[in-house]
Amino acid sequence: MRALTALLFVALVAGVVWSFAVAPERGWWMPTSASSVGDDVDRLFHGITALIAVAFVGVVGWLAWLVWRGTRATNERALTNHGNARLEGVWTIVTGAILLTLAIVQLALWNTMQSARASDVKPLARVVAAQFEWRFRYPGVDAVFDTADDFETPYRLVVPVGERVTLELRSKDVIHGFFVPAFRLKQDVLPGSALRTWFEARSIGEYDVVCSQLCGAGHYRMAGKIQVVARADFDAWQSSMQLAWNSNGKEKP
Amino acid sequence: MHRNLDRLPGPARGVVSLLLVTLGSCGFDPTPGSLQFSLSKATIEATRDDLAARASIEHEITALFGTASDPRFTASDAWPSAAAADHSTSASIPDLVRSGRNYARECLACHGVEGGGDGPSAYGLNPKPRDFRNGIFKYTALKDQSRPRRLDILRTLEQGVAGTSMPNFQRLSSTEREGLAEYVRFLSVRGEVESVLVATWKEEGEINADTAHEAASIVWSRWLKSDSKLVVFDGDVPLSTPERIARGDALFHDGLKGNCLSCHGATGAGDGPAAWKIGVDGKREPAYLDAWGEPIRPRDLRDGVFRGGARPIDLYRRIYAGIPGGPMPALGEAQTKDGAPLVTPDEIWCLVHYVRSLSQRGEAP
Amino acid sequence: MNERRSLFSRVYSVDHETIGKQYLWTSLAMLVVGGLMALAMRWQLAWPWTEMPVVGSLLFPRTGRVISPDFYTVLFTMHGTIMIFFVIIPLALGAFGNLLVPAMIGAQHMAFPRLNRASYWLTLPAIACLLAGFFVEGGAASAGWTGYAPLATVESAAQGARLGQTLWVVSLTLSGISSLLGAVTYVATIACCRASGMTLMRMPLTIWGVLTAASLQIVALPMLTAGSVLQLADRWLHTGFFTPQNLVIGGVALDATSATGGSPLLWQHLFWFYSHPAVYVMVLPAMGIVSDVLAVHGRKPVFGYKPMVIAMCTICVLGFVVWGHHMFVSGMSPAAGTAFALSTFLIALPSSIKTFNWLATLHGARIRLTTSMLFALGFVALFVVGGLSGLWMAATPVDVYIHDTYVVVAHFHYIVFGGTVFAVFAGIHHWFPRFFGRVLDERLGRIHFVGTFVLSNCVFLMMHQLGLAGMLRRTADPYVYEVFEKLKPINVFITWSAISLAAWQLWFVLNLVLTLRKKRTAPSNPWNACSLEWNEAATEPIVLRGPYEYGAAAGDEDWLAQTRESSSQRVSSSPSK
Repeated sequence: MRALTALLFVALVAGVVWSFAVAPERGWWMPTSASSVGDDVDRLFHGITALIAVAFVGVVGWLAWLVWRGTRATNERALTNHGNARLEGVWTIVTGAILLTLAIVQLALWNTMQSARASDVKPLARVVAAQFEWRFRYPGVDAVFDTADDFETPYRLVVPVGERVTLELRSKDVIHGFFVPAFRLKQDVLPGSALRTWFEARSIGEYDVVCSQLCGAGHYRMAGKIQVVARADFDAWQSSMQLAWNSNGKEKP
Repeated sequence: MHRNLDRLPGPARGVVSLLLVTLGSCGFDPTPGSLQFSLSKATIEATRDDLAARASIEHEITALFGTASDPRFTASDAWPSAAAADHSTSASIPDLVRSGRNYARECLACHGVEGGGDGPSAYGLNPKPRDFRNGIFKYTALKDQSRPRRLDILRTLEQGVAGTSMPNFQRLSSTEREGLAEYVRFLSVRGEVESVLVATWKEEGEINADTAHEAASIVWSRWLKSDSKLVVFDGDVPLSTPERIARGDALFHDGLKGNCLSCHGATGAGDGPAAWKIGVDGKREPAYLDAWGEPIRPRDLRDGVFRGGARPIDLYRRIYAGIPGGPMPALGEAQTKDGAPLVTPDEIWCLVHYVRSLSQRGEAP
Repeated sequence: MNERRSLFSRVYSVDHETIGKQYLWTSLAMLVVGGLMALAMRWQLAWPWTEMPVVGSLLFPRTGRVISPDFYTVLFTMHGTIMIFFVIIPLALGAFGNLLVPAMIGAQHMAFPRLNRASYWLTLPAIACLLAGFFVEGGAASAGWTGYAPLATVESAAQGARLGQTLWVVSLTLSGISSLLGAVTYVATIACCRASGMTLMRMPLTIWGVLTAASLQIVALPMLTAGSVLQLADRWLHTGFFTPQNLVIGGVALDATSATGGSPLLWQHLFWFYSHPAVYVMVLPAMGIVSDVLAVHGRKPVFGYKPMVIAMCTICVLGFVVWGHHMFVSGMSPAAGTAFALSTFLIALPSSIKTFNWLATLHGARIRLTTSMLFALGFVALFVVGGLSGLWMAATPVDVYIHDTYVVVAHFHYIVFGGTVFAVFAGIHHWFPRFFGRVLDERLGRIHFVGTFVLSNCVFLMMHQLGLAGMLRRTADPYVYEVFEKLKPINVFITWSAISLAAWQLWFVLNLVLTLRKKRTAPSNPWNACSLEWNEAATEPIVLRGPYEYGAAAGDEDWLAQTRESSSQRVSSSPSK
């Protein structure tokens, strides 16, 4: 039992380390960051992960050792040691300093990620969440929402690459969550508010939009896509959408 | 007792359980649910006293349409090949069996096994999920209450029905959507044939393969006319101007022309007097029922949510052709007493832009 | 003690031991109920939209014995609600609190015995109310155990938002009242009924755990109750505390049917103001139990008793100012996010200190690998996993990604299952002789521990990876997104592990059944523990020292009970720190 117990903790360490080590290459990991802020988030994540890894291996490894040592056959009793104030002080201050540093280090990035909240920049598009689909409304040529030249598309949000894109998020019914894993972007869509979020997509491609706040039975399939294209293609797409929006029903009903 | 349990020491049990876990994970493949078509409530009710007739009806329907796990249009003279009835060119759409499985995964929870709008998720939904079985589809590009083309069903699948629980299905591939549209038509035809068969039985008292084929032909023929019923507009869509909006405003409120305010109300709020009545409990309730027997309310035009699509052409079609299954009339080919058109196409565009203006207050973002 | 009492008075009893056992058995039964729901969820995640055993045939015979998407939302809602309110909190506080508080502090009974009895008996209607939801129209509550408005508060938002949700709120309110009565009893008893010489700093850490947890309950529960009352008002009286204007939910324009102008965020603040301290309620007694077990079975005092107490109190206080970390992406102000991030990082400190102290306790200990020791050791390891993953979520930019993914599920299951449930098993094995007069079988206990330790990691470890890949919680079918197809093998592995883990608990049931069938022949203090509960005979004990006098300096044996006069001059009987 003694060996087995120590082995269990060693196996735990091994299992945890293995599962995280092989995860990225097997795709059990975050998708490649595709936004400007994503790299910073990933850096913070990796930093914390390194810290956690050291702490975990150290603590559980030491636990395994303590079990092994403490279960050896001996007639000696344990020391009646009630504590050591200095040791307590040391590990309190060191741990506290590490935690405080972490807390401070992440502040700036948080502010950056939230910088659209209080801004009055004109959004590129309005995200309208409803049970259970995403619809995207573009303000059209006049860049003003709720005018005659607006157009709407369900499911697919098209944005230009390499530019800061501001979105306005609205919900028609319950709370939804606008989550774009590749951009490390998530913002709950609150009914009764028009929250803003922003991102700058770094590469052309298609990225999943996932609803990240339980919104009912269809929550699991409230999917969308963000399609990032070159600015020229974006302009062309907008024009073609405007044209299609004003179709006469002959070519494409 | 303990001696028996002694045989496998603790650690070995851990290993054994892990082995079970790993081995068990390979090759275990639970089945997707196996479904069965049932007769509709109306059929059950009608054949309450004649179970033999019920069995015959079920037999004929199964003969024509197969089972839920093997849905098919049985080869017969009841219908020409499905492709002749439609225009989509995709040759690789999944067959009805595969589409049936997709339907079970994507649609059945709301629309039910037979497309009766009675799936387990349907309870409490408002508006209710569509019951396909009377062949009425509200948001098509067609007039004269025609059966939809595959394109119309596809458009609903691509765009969803805004303002309802029907979402868009753009995350599926286009071939999957085409297969689903086929399957929806299959369910609709099957459901309609069932009710025609019941009606025939009530009149003539007979159910056999011939009456079944005749019912099928009747229903199928309704789907063959859709091509000629497309509502389109020659030329470019007139854009929104203050003049057109003003003209639309006048038409909306003109009792002899658009007369929209009678149902949609003077402000477009959906509170027009013709659409509401005082019910038995003294409370205000909708005056009309839709084709499925549910109370139907006129749309509140001020919220900018248009179920059949918010493009100008979509609104044009609603006004021109009305909406099947409900009291929204078709203005496009309506005539005055002396045979003149009630409204011109340009006047319909004015109404379109006026209606759109009700929800376009141009708020700054 | 042996007077003939009717069955009624033996069951409807004010005796704290009876009440503690009632809590214990009720909670273990609810653990089975909640666990079965988890298995149903795991089936769906591994093999979505396939015929589900039992559930499918019972509830969905017409649609292929496949569960509906609505039912999945009911499953995770009820699983969470049952586990938190009717398993973990009643086990941690109700069972161990009742059994141990008077016994460990040398009181004959609780300060308010009838209040205490009412506390248990209120849980039964609360459970009945909750489970009744399955039988009403629309089914049981389905808005998650968090019940966010307006999904939960507006009837047309979901099937379960009808009568089922009302029953959920009423159940939680009843459960809250029950908890409040119990918590008040514990605090009053600990404050006023300690034996002579039992100073606060001589109480075993289990009691400190119960005290801090009960204090949290007293201060925080009223907020949940207030929120529940507001939610009931929204549902019954058509007020609009949580309902903004201009919403159309489920086809119903809300401005026409109720008052509006409220805020969904208000519910979140009210809810989390209680529910965050609630998680500390779930873990503080467990920490106390583990400290005691490590000391007794390691034959060594708890290292740093005073820092341990201060750490628990700090967790208790800081626990009130971190609730916003559940709401970083909710739309609350970014400044609030900053504040909560800071406080959340800070609250990691006391837990870390406790972990170091546990390790220091084990350092140089003479460890007896009894089953309770094994589970206590398991607690330390698994609590560390859960606690460290919490650091990802304290960092707001990372939490933005992780929120509502399976990383969160992994985190709290490591703490609640790997933590509290392991501590509960440790506590049951440790105190079984005291309260049931028999010692649970060690061999069966070891088998139970090894399998549970291995399998619980098989279940919860890879959930970290699932979440990092982006797989969300509360989703009936993650494979709707093609990129998650490659996660299916992990989900299948987890499901098999979960089924095995559930089955493995039968070893524990077997142990209970076989042991309870034996006669009560256990010695009165089989572990040679110092604390007062083992000294049943003393009716008015006089406490002379702290509870952890083990080891070399304890006298002629390696332990010195709290009440025993020292028989040797080598040992001083001065009170411990």
